[in-house]
Amino acid sequence: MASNEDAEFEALVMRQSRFVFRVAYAILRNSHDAEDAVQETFLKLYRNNTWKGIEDERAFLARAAWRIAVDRLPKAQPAQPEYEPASKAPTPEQEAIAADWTATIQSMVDALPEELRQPLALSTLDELNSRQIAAILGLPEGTVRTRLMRARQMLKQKLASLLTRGTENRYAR
Amino acid sequence: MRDREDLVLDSALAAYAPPEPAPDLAARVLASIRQEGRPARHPRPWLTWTIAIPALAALLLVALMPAHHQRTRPASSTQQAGTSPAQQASGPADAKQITTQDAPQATTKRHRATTQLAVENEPLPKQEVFPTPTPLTPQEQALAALVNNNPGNVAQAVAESQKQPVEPLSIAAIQIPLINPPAKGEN
Repeated sequence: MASNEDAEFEALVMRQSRFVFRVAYAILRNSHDAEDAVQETFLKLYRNNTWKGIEDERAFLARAAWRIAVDRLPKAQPAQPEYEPASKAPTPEQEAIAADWTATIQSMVDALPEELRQPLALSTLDELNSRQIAAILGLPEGTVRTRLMRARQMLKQKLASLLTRGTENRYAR
Repeated sequence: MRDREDLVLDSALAAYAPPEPAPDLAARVLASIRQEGRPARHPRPWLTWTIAIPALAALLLVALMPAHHQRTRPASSTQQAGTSPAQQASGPADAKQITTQDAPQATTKRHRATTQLAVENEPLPKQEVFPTPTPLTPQEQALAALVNNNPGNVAQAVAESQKQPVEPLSIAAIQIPLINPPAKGEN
């Protein structure tokens, strides 16, 4: 990579690899897979020369990375069991999970349908607003907003039931 | 309760955000591109030519084949029309010669194909009697000689044979005896 073009491309990689990684990670939830997706994204751009003259390089790269990451997702993901306590009396494991809200909610997010999880995961990136998420997913912005709302609503309902049970159990003792 | 849920959810989602990549990610990406990546400035020119040349050759062949056929057919017929009856009588051999003179530089294979085509295009001689009479066998010749020598006798013999009445055939009635089943004890 000696020419000016190559130097420009190198600068692009240095500038955007972190962002591309985060987009890929939001979909794949695995550092190793996300790094592979980043490499594939930049390699494709370089080979096809599609990176020149991009107007919004972040949007372009995010879209490209999202496509590659989605392709790398397992085709038939095993249905992850939603976090739902089986009975009112929590097991020791459930108590441990309930103690760590972050882990609990993350498992709940992972259990969401992909159409809701992906916009929600991308929304956790500070760099992306709903318009940019819509551009990445190829959806209308209104649809993205609706999905984000539905995802949050589902999580809140589950969280509310979990919190209620936690409180009941505390008083029962 | 609502506020508490929102707070918990927001903090959990903040933790759900992707982590930072390894610091040498960009360097590794660049290294892999240096190793594997080749910009597609000239996307496989050999592939283009390997497809284009046979395609052009096929097109050329398809375009030339009908023209060749049209040229061969009228040439043989007009040259034949222009030749004398003696030449026409000599037949395919001459046609072969004429056609081969048209393409002296042709390959042997093509020469064979052309001459075969010329022979096929040669009109067959017109027969006055169809089907062509074949020579009589010795028996037929003997019969013909007999008729020629004694025409009256032959005619009389034919007339007499036709006078004999044709009697209807009579067939005796068929009688089939009944089969008596054997009595019990007799076998």
